[in-house]
Parts: sequence; C-alpha cells; structure tokens
Amino acid sequence: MNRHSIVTRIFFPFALTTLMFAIVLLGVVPDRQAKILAANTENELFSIAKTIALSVNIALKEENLEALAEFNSFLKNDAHISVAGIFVDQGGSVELLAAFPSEVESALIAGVDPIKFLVARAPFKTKDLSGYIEVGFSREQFASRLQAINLTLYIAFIAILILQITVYRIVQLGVIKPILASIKSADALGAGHLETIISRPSGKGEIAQLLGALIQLQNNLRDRKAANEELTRSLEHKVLERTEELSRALQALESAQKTTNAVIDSSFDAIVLLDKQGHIQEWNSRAIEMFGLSRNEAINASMARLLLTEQHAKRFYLKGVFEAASLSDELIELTGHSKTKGKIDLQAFITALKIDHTEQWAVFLRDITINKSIADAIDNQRIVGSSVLDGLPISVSLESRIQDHVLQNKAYRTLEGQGFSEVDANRDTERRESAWKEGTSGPWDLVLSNDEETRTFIGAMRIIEPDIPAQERYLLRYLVDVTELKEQENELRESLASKDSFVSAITHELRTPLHSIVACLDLISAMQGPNDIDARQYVSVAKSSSEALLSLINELLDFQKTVERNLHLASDPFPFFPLFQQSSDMCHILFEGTEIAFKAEFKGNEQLMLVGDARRITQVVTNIVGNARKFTKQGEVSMTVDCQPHSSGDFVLLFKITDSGIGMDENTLARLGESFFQGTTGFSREFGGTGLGLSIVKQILFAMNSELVVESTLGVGSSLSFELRLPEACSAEFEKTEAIDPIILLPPSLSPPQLVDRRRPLMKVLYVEDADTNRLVMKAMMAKFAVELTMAESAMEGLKLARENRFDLIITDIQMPFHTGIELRQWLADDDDIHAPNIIAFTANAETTKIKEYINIGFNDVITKPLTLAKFSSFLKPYLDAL
Amino acid sequence: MLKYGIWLMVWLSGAALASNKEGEQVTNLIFIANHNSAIEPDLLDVQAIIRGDQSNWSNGNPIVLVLPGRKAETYEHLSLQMFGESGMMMQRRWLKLVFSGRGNPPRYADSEQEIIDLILSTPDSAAVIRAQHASKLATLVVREI
Repeated sequence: MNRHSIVTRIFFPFALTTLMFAIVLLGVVPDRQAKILAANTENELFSIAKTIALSVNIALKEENLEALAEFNSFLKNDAHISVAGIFVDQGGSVELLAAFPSEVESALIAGVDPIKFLVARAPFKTKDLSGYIEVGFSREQFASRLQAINLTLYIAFIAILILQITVYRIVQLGVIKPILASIKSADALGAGHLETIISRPSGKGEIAQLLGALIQLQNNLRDRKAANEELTRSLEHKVLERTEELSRALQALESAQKTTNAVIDSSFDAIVLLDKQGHIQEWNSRAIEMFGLSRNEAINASMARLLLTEQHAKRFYLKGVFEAASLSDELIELTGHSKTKGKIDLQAFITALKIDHTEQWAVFLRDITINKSIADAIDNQRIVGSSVLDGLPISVSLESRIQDHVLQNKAYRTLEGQGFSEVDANRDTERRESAWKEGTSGPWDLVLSNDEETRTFIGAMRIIEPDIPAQERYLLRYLVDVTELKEQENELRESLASKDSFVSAITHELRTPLHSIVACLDLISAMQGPNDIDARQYVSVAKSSSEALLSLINELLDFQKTVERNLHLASDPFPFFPLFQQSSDMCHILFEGTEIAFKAEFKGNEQLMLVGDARRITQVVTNIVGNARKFTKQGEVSMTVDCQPHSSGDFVLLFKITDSGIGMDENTLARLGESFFQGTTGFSREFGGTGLGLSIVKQILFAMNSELVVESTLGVGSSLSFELRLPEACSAEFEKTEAIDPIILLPPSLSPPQLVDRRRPLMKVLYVEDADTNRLVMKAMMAKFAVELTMAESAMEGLKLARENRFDLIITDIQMPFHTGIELRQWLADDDDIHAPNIIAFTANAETTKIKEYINIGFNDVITKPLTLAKFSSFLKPYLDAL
Repeated sequence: MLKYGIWLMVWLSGAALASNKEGEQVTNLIFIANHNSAIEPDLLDVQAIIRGDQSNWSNGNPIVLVLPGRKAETYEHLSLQMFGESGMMMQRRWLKLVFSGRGNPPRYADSEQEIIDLILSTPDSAAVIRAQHASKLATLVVREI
C-alpha cells in the first residue's frame, strides 16, 4: 500500500479514530462502570442493611413490627437485593434469627456467601438482643445489570462505527473516487484513449471543475481525432469507389459478353452473323442443330450454300437484300437444307449491324417445318369439316363470345343470305344468353321470315366446353327447317280430327236410333201377355241384337278414345277388395248356364284403399275374362289377384286370368291385340265380337304404365296377366271415398218395376227433344209412371213452356238444332220467374268426362241413351219419392 | 359501627395445654376474634392462627393477631401457655415470621382490657385472653379453649 496515496491518507485517520472509540467504549468504560456499579451496589446494600437493623431495633424496643413488615414488603417488591438475614449473638456464637426470603433460610445459616452475593452488613443492638443484618445482592444479577449497561456501550460503539464507515463512504464517493477517476481519465487521455467515459459529478466543486476540464479536453481531442478519421475515410472511400467502378465495369463487360453468348446459344432461333459478303462469322448452337453443321464447318462458309432454292440463295447475294434488311421488319420464308434432316422450312429475320465501322448482318432463322405441316393438316381438316357441315340439311353455326360467327355451314349462310330473321329479335338474344349461362337452350320452335316467305324451324343451342381449361367456349347453334313437316303434321291432325268427329258423330247417331229401338222393344216386352210365346222370342232376339249392337258401338267409342290417347284415367281413392268382388260377380254371370267353371281368388289385405281408375280396372278384367269365356268350351277359367306392397310404398296388383280354352299358335300370339284381329279366319263368325276387346285392354294398360303378358299353348289354354302399381290412399282421401255403386244386372226374367202408383200425385215433367221417335218413346215410357208429361220440340219451345208452367222435372236432349240443351239450361237458370228445380241432361254420349262436364255446367243429373224401362224407373224413383 | 359481627371463641383448655413444665396453675384461656365468617375455626385452626402458621381468614382477609406486650401481666404467662416459651422468644418468633414474610405483623397490647378494646375496634383481629375476662365480653361469643 502506498502510504502517500490519497486513500491511505484519508482512511488511516478514520481507522485510528474508530480504534480509539473501540478501546474506550469496549475496554476502559466497561471496567470503570463495573467498579462504580459494584461500589454503588454495596452502598445500597449497606443502606438497606442499616435500615433493616433500625427496623429490628424498633420492632424489639417498641414492640412494633409494622415497620419491619413494611420493610419486608419493600424488600419483596422494590429492593433489588437477593437475600437478607438477621443474625443474633447467642452466647459467643452467631445464629440466624430470620431470613428473607424464607426459602433461603437454610442457605443463610452460615451467613450470606460472599462468592455468590455482594454482601453488606449492619449491626444492631437492643436491651435483650444484639447482632447484625447481612444483605446480599446476587452476583449473577449484578453481572446482568453490568451487561445491560455494557450493551449500551456496545450499541454506542456500533453506532459510532457505522457513522465512521458512512462518513468514510461519503468521503470516498464524493472526494476519493472522483479524484481517482479524474486521475485515471487523465492517464487514459494521456495514453490516447479518447473514448474513455468521464462522468462529471453534479455541483460546482473543485472536483467537478477538474472533471469538467478533463471532459472539455477529451471533447477537443475527440473532435480532432474525428476530423482526422473523416478525412482518412473520405480518401479511402474515394479510392474504393474508383476501384469498384472499375471492377463493376469489367464484370458488366464480362457478364454482357457471357449473356450475349448464352442468349445467342440458347436462343430458340438459329442466329447467324454474316459479313458483308454473306460469309458466316457466328454460328450458334441452334444453327448447329438446325443445319447439322458444326461451328467449324459453318464459319466462313457462304450462307447461300445452305438455302435450297436458287431463288432464295440469290437473295443473299443480292446487295439489295442486305440493304433493305436493315429497314425491314418482315419475316421472310425460305427453304433451307439440313445435313441431317434434308429439306427444312425456315422463317428468317435479317437485320443490319454496324459496329466500329464494320458492317455485319444478323440472320435469325426459325425451323417452321412442323408448324407448316400442322397448319396444312388443319387446313385440310377444316376443308373436310366445312364440306361435311355444308352437306348437312340443317343450318349450323359456331359462335364465340368475342367473335360472332366462327363457323357457319352452307345452309346457315344461305338462310342469312336470303334475309331470314325472327320477328322478335330479342328472343334470340335471350336464348343465346340462356345457353351461355345454362349450357344448353332449346329445343324450341321458331319462325323465320323474309320479304317473300315464312318458314318454321326447330332450333337448339349448346355450349361446347373446351378440353383445355381456360380455352374459349363456343356456342353451337343449329336450326332444322320443319316447314314441310309441320304442314304435313297439320294436315294429318286435321284429317284425324275429321275422322274422329266423323266416328263420334256416327256412333252418336247410331246410339240415338238404337235408343228408340231398345226402348220400344222394352215397351213391347212390357205390354206382351204370358201366352205370346213366339212374339216374346222375337222381341228377345231383337233386344239381344240391339244390345250386341250397343256393345259394338260402345267398344268402337272406347277404341276411338284410346287411339286418340284421349283416355283420361281417373285418380280416385277406392277400396280394392269390393271392386274385386264386384268384378268377380259380374264374371260369374258370364259363366251361368255353361259347362265352364269360374274361380276367382284374392290374396292380400282386404281393407286396402288404393288410388286409381276403378272403372277402367273393372273394364280390363271383365274384357279379359269375357275373352277367355269366348274361347273356352269346357273346363275352367280362373282369375287370381295378388296384392303385395312395393318398396316405394305403393302396392303391386298382379292379375292373372287362366283358361283351358283353345289356346293360340305363335302367329296368333304375335298379332294379338291388333285392332279388329280375332285369331284365325272364321273366328269372328264363330265367336262373335269386333276384335277390339284386347286392343282396348292393351291401350288402357298402356295408359296405366302396364302391359299385357300372354302365354298360350294351342289346344291347351291361355294365361293372360298384367301388373298394376297403385298408391295407397291416405286417410284424408278415405273420407272422400264413395262406395262403388253396384251395377245392377237385370236377368231377362226380371219384371219391370212397379210403374204406376195411382195414389201418388202426378209429377209434372217437361221433355225437350227434337227427334220425333225419341219423343214417342219417352211418351210411352212416361205413361208407365205417375207423371204428367209435357213435351217440346226445341229449346225455345221448352223455355216458353217452362215460363208458363211449373214443372217438377225438366229433361232435355243436349244435341238439338239451333239451340242445345246446354243453352236451354242456362236460360232456365237465368230467369228467376221460372220454377225449374231439377233439370236433367239426356244424351247419347255416355262418356264419363261428358257426364261430369254436364254436372259441372249445372245439370242436376244426367241420363244416357239408350234407355230401358228398368233404368228409367231407377232414375225417376227418387224424384217421385220426393213429391 | 362494626362492619363485622364479633364472635368470641373460647376453647376450654385441653389436656395438651392443661399444665406447663413448672407446674404452674393453668388458667383457662379463651380465643376471641372480630370476624363474621360463618365457619367457626376449630382448635387446630386457633393454634395455627396464634402460632402464625395461618395468617388469613377463610375469606382471604389477613388475620390481625393481638398479642400481650412486655408490660402486660400475662406477657410471660400467656407466652408460656400458648407457645411453651418465654415472652422474648415469642417476640423473636414473630420477628422472624414478619421479616421472612410469612406472617402479618401482630399488634401488642399492654393489658387484656387493651386487647379486648383492640379486638373490638379492629376488624379481622384475634387474640387470646384469660377466661375470667369473658364476662366483660357480653356482646361477644366466647369459646373456651
């Protein structure tokens, strides 16, 4: 340690002072304190002993122990003595009289032990008793008290020590450290370390001023140094810049050279550099590949040598080509010669270069041999395609979004050439937009016209999606001229319509006279007596013939409707099992009085409700069974119906009718169902019928999405089956269901109903009919009932009579000259003065649709021709009962 | 007005105290006390009180014992009869008891009348007197020892 250093000079006085404090406070003072305390304690003890002695004196002399008792209390509570004893002289010896506290009595017998206690003694003497008092203070307690006093000294010393250290620290931080730092900084600055951090303390003391001066010096030195460094850097930077510029220039040059070479070498085109004479100076990789010549072979060779045709070769010799080339931006097509490929098609671009006063020519050559082949092939295909399209009888155009017409065939061009266009041009635009959006549009009918004519077309549009994504889409539009076809179709429709109306009219007209015949025969039959046997037979034959004729007409009407596809199937809920029973009952009647047994069997749910056309199903079944009856002489005809649920929720009904009849050969099977066909020649004669039955069945089944399956063996029998798939009726439909009206089949022997009941009032009836015969028949029939009949020959006359009378029932024919029965009903309904509660339509048209139509118009009921007495009786009964 | 009821207990002198060694005539002594405790001390309690072995009444109050002083006629007699030792020894005994803190300081009276007066005027006080003085204690309950 340097004894001259500032630290030493300041530290040692502090250390010395602290040492002195330590000696005084920890050495001298405690010893002195101990002595003083011991003396004081002994004095105190002696005083106490003296006081006790006095108290004993008082107690013994004055016989007053109060003072002693109080002193005892003092000793116990206030005095800090440990023990006290009263010792008395007892014949030369000393004896302990009393001890305080009483517990130490035995220990005090020999007196208070001076080793354990600080002891003070005071004598006492009375008349009767003398002795002394010894009082002891525990040396342990004394030591504790001394320790407590010394503890204060220790604390004082520690406080002084802390104060000394703190003062020294303040001096160190405030004086020593800044001075040392200043010295260090000054040393560092002197050594040239200008970045040394000099902290300047706050305030304006001498040390702060010294450090401030040092910082100022440091700043000055730093500025000088920075200026020098900046100058050096500037010079270095300039040198570096120059060096880099030169380096970059060299690199750019090299790079440009490499790039040029690489570009030239990797160019898709062959690049050839020619001198002014047309000799090759540069020859890149592509040129080597294109012409099959190495660089060595090509350099200095004449370019013209590589061109196939003399004409092309000459172009390179001609001065004008080169001169013109510098200004030309056109591609020249040439034919070249490759050592490896032979003839090659080339596309060339020539440009003049003038470098350092030297003229050169750069030739860029591209092999277009393959492109040219593809282009030729495409051209050929286009020509073929165009030819095919032109040969089509329909008009075709291909359009794109960008270009209206990419392609049009001859027919389309012709249409456009002739100025055909659609009247409403907007519709065509809508169709195009729809096609672009949806992918297709049409087919639709359209009419195009020009100044001279109008033609009908069927057109459609379709978007052609490209195979390659993002390639353009095309709209294919085609038009088929159907003008002639439409005309033919219209002619055919008109022809069919006239035929249909003819057939309808004929059948209607047939039914009308037939109605008179049937009704008259019925009347005659009712009038005949029981003995007119021959007459009854004749009438019976006439009736059966009329019924056969009626059946024939009905079949023809049915057939007509099915052929027209006007067969409207009902879609009503019905219980199937009752329908089966009813059909079965009807079929049973067919077999009565024959040697053929008929069996009918149903498998399935008898409570099932289905939706369909119950009447048509009955018609099909009875037709097939009737057919089986017709071709079976003996044996058995059976009908089974198997009803099973279908996975879709519908029900499948499998009908199968089997007979042991004559059967059919293959030829007959093949033609079965053809209209008016009835097996082998002579069948019609033998079995009767029109041959329309199965044809109608097939049409009805077709309408029901089913078909008739026939299996037959000649001489053994036939089996005809079909399947129907019908939905189950829901519960809501049950409520609408009406019970199937039973069809009443009147056996021939059945008597007509009770006709006239004279006890009833007469029902007033107006009958409007233009046909005389029908009026005659109606009059005869009405005579059988309690009716007052009035008749009119026309609708007008009927209206007049209705205004003048009050009729309970008005029956009117529908088809009448001038005004129809429908018009009459309207007049009656519009006139509030007319009483017409029941207006009945009477018609030969027995079609269900017609009957419904009349009811919808407002007729209360419909009766159909021909009319029998039994039928008429059933009809009139509710009206008569209502009177 | 006396705060405490005064009762006087007289113990007839029994066999233990019937005579002394010198063959002096034994006087009947009575124990008197000014204290209202419901529990009357028995013979052993009286001896303990007089000898300083019991310094408090049963309710915790300190017992103020009144003893005959040197001038009292019964100083030596009573000391001998109560403690079996001289009056001086009796005083030394009580000095020892008081100094060592085991006994309350007794009061000394110069005559039996003074003893009775002190008893009457000092609550929780107790003393032993000769039985013939019991007639003077009309208001006291006297128990023969």
